[in-house]
Parts: sequence; structure tokens; C-alpha cells
Amino acid sequence: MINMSSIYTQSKNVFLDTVNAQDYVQLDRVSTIYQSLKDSIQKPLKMILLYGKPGTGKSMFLKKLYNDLSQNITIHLYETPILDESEFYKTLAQDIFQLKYNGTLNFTQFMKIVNSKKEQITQTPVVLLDEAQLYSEALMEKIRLLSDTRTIKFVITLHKTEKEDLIAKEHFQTRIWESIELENASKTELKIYIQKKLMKANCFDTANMFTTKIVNKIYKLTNGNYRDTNKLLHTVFEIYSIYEQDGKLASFGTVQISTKIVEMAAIHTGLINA
Amino acid sequence: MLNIIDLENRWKRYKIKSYIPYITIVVSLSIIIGIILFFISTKHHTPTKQKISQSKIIAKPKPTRQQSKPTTPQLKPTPPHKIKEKTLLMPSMEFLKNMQDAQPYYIDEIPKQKKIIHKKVIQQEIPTEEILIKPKLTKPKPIQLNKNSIETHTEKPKKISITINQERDPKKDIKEVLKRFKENNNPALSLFIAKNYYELKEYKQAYNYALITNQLDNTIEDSWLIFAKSLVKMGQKDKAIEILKKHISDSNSNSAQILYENIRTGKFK
Repeated sequence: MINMSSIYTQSKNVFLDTVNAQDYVQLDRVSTIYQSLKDSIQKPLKMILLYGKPGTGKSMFLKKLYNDLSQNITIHLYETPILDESEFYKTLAQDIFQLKYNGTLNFTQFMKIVNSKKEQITQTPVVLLDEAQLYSEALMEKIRLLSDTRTIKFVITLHKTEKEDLIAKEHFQTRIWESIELENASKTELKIYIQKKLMKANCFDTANMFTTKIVNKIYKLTNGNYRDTNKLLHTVFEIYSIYEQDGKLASFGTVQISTKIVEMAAIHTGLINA
Repeated sequence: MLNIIDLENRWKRYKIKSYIPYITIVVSLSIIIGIILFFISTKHHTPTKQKISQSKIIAKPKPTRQQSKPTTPQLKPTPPHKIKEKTLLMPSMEFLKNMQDAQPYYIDEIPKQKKIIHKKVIQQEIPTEEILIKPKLTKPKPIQLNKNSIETHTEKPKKISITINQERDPKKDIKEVLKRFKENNNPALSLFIAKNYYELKEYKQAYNYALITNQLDNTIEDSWLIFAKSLVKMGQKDKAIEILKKHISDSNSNSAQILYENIRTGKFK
């Protein structure tokens, strides 16, 4: 029998719900989307909208994009929305134009700064705004106006809801040049995602435990959502670790992931309402 | 740290819940299938019942043919096993055997009744007119007559015989007649015995003597009637009906017809 005493704990840590560009898993469809996003940034577009349901990898996309492009272009990632308008302008002024501004900075003042620095900028800076649905409508309108100056390029991510669609339609319809939708993984993609993720962390034995049958079961529970899958598998390996400690692992076997444990994890994470 | 025990319990509940829809579907389907099969089977069974009843109807004429052959001597001596085969007449053939062979039935009882026989002989010698007078006379009167006018009324032993007659036991009468019947095999006597037994509610004996009477003379209608009545009393109503049917078909007897109707409708029980 393979000694998997530490593998379950390692595997558990692989599925921690963190946004780390190093954890980015290269999937065919996702790679295509990512490449198109990269290409869009090179184009003279005012605004790029990245949208999709929660847990489809939008934040990971922005993180990956930031990591990949930060060496070549001026790119700034704001994972947490800056809800205060003055603070938002001040942060942009400092990051893009290296201007520290004391006191309140309003939109008019910031526009003056943008216009004054316009000629000095050789390469349009890119601002990545995650969770843009949290910004107020007024601020979003001002972001739209800023993008119109073509001095700053915005890539924003939105959750795909009715409200977000409304924002997209009302405020950005004419300005958005590129919109990319991220979707949940298919069954095949989910299997590749899980196995690649585990193999990246050298958890080959646990990666081999994910048969098509068990992946289908996971897909049924998570609908291919990456965040839900991560949560579920984190719990799965936590249960495995506990059974291992209690010496009850033999009853489940190590050939493939136990359906019972998957269901137990789904109950714990709320994917199954029991 | 996960509470594995709690989680396992929740999982067990979940599994039970998840099987409930399947169980209900299987149960409901099996019930539906069962009901459908039941209806199908009942539909298939009804024609077979009809077939059976038809076959019964077809089979019925066979015994009637057999029965129609010996129309006149239906109750005449036939081997016991043949009688058993016939559904209509099921008399106790052992009785017949006894009658033919040893006849202990009569012999055994006769010696005990010697004295009575004498009385009966006297009774039978009495003219019928005197018997008719009997009810008018009272008991004290013959005593007085005996005391006062023995000489004058010695020629009239009628009164003595009357007293004897009133004290008569029907069973004793039967035994007396039985003896006579043994001597001459008169069907009238056997019919008398049968009637008496019937009145005494000894239906089996009534049945037997009605049968004997019929064997001796099957034209005596009363033997048929007593026979049928006895059968009814013995709880063999169907046989009685069958016998009466045959008798009616042979004789067109009104009284037999009336009795038949009474038995059939349950008026005569």
C-alpha cells in the first residue's frame, strides 16, 4: 500500500481558496480566452469587460494578466474596490502618475492631472479593477469618462447578474470594445483542472484517484464551478486526513476517491442540502 | 477540524432521503403494475368461467340420458354402486342388503312385542264403526259397565277394545304391522309403516319404508311423497327435488307437483 500519510494534507492545501497566479491552471479553452484578453489589451480599446458567474476564475484571470504583463507594461491591479471616490483618484494618481496628493481629490482635479500627463505617457497604463459591480454608479460613470480620454485603459470584472448587465448596457455599451465571458468548466476541463492542480503540487497519487466517474460526481455537485470545486476538494482531503489519523482509511481504499467522502464533503460545504 | 461523526450521521440521513423517491417510484409502479395485471387476469378469467359453465351445461344432458332410460323403475333394485353413481338417488343400500339377507330388523324386534300383538289383533278385529265411536266414550264408563252388567253386555267386547285402543303406542302399532308386512309383503303395509315413522319424526325409517313400498309398487304416489318428505327432513332437499321431478315427469301428479313447489320454495322444510 502506498504511504499517503502526508499526501492528503498536501492535496488539501492545493485546493485552498486563494487567488494566486502560480496556481493558474492552463486549460485549452481558458488559455484561448486568456490569449484573447491579452491581445485586447494591446489594442487601442477604451475598456475591456470580463464577466461571468462567481467562481469562474475572473479574479484569477486578472491576477494572471497582471503577473504576465507587469514586466512589460504599466499595469495596476485593484483586487479590492476603492469605494471612496477621492481615495480612488488619489490611488490612481499615485500609481499611474506617481503623484502624491494630500487632501481631497475630486474628479475634475484628477482629470486635470490626466490631461496634463497625457503627452508624457508613451504607453497607455492599464488599470485592472476587480469586483467592479461594487463601485457606485456615479463612480462607474466617471471611470467611463476617464476611459474616454484614452489616457488610461480599464479592464473591469463584473459578476454576471441582471444588475451587472444593466450597468454594462447603460454605462459602457458604447465604450466597451471587448467583453469576455468566463464560464464554468466542462466535465473534461474539470478533470484536467483537478489533476493539473494536484500534479503541480506533486500529488500524483491523489491526482490518479480522480476517475472520470468521481469527476462526474464532483461536476454534478459543483456544476464545474472552480471555486466550489476547490472548496469541495479541500474538504474531501480534510476528511481523508481525519480518517487517516483515526486509522479508518482502509475501508475507503486508495484506488479512487470515495463517493461517500465526496458526498460528506458536499454536505459540509453546503453543496448538498442534507 | 471537522466533526466526522456528525458528518457521517448527516450523510446517512441524506442517503436515506435520496433513496425515498426511488423507493416510492418502485412501490407505486409495482402497485400500478399489480392492479393492471389483476384487471388483465380477471378479464382473462371471466371467459374461462363461461367456458366451464358451458361445459357443465353440455355435460348435464349425459346423466339425464342415463336417467331417462329407466324411467318407470327408477327405484327398483339396482346394484348399490350404480345407485351411488347417480346423483339423484342416494338411498342407504346397506339397508336393502339387510332386508334381503338376514332381515334382522324385523326379527329382532318382534319377540319383545308378543303381548301387544295380541292386543292389536283384537283391535283389528273391531269393526271400524266402533272405532269411530271411541272418542265419545269416557274412561269411567267402561268400568261401570263392567261392574253392573257383565252378563248382559258380555256380547259386546267393544268397550274393552276401545280402552286398549286409546292407550295404544304408535310404535307398537308399527311393529305389529311390520310383522304382518313380513308375512305378506303388502306395499300398503309398508306404506303405513313409512307414514307412521314419518309422523313419529323417524325420517330415516320413513325413508326406508317408503323406498321398500316403491320397490314393491312404484305406482303408489304416497310412497314417493313420503320418500321425498323424508329426504327433505334429513336435509337432502336437492335429492328430494330431483326425485319429485322425475315422478312428476312420469305421473303428472298434482300432489307431487304441489310438494315439489313447496320444497323448492322452502315452504316445506
